[in-house]
Amino acid sequence: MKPSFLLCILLMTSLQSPAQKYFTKTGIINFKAGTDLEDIDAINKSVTAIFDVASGQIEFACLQKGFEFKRGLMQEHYNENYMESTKFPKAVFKGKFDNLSSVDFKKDGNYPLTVSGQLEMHGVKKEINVPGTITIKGGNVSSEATFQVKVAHYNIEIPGAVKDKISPVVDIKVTCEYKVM
Amino acid sequence: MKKIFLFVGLAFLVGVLYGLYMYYKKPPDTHDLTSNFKITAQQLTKEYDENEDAANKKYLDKIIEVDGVIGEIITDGENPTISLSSMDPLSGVSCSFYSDEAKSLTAFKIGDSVVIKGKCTGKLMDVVLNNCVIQH
Repeated sequence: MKPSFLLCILLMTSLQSPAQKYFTKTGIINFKAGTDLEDIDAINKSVTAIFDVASGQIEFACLQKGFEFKRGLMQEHYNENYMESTKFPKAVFKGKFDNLSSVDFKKDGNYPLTVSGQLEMHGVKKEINVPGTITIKGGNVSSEATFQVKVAHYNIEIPGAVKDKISPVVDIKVTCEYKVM
Repeated sequence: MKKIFLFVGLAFLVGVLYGLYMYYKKPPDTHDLTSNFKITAQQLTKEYDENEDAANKKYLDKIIEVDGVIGEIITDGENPTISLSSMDPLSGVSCSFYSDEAKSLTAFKIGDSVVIKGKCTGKLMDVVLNNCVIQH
């Protein structure tokens, strides 16, 4: 093979941006399920998230038992009565960014995007669309998304006795800081 | 008659106080709990890789003392975490600490051997332990 031809090929392959995957095992989900009568806040600090730049696909997963509440009874009730965590230990989202190619991973900035896909929780799968932001800062990649979930959509029953304490619509915030895989 | 009233009144008060105590009680602090299992990170990961359902039946919600080598350590921010390595490069044991443990984690580095006590919450990519503390 001519040396100049070989050089051409080497140059071409090195100029192509490699297909990057970004992931985290320490993503954070906060949710608020309370009303004026009672604060019900929980945090999960061991969320895994992976996304693939080439395909735009993204996956989140978290363990129900990983949600921490300020009150022990709330945490017990969440797992035993509402989420039935022994039967359904995880919540998983599999989806795709609408336009990941609009993000320049080498340029600092806030890039608003939407993710569409399927959330599986408490044995129910539902299609959802979630708006969010990918932030590039100093070479670091992070994401934030806020959305709401109707408890009834996932077969989660709120007993009459606590209907004024637990909101039928839960506010969820997902925050992740990624590393290259 | 008076004695009965007094007795019922006291019983009622005790009941209310107990109810309030249960209502406001925080989740148990791992510092105070005895571990149900003592195991290596390698062994724990292996059991979960072989049969996740069986491993969950055995370990979910239990307090585990895990012995392993630090593969990764994050001490800044609100989420101090240590990852213990196993033979499987794709999975290990992820240990999420109480935020006030962050300072004690700065004494450690990658490659150190450490024993960590925490509550098992299941497996995602790694086996995940919550409410962790360094076991001395």
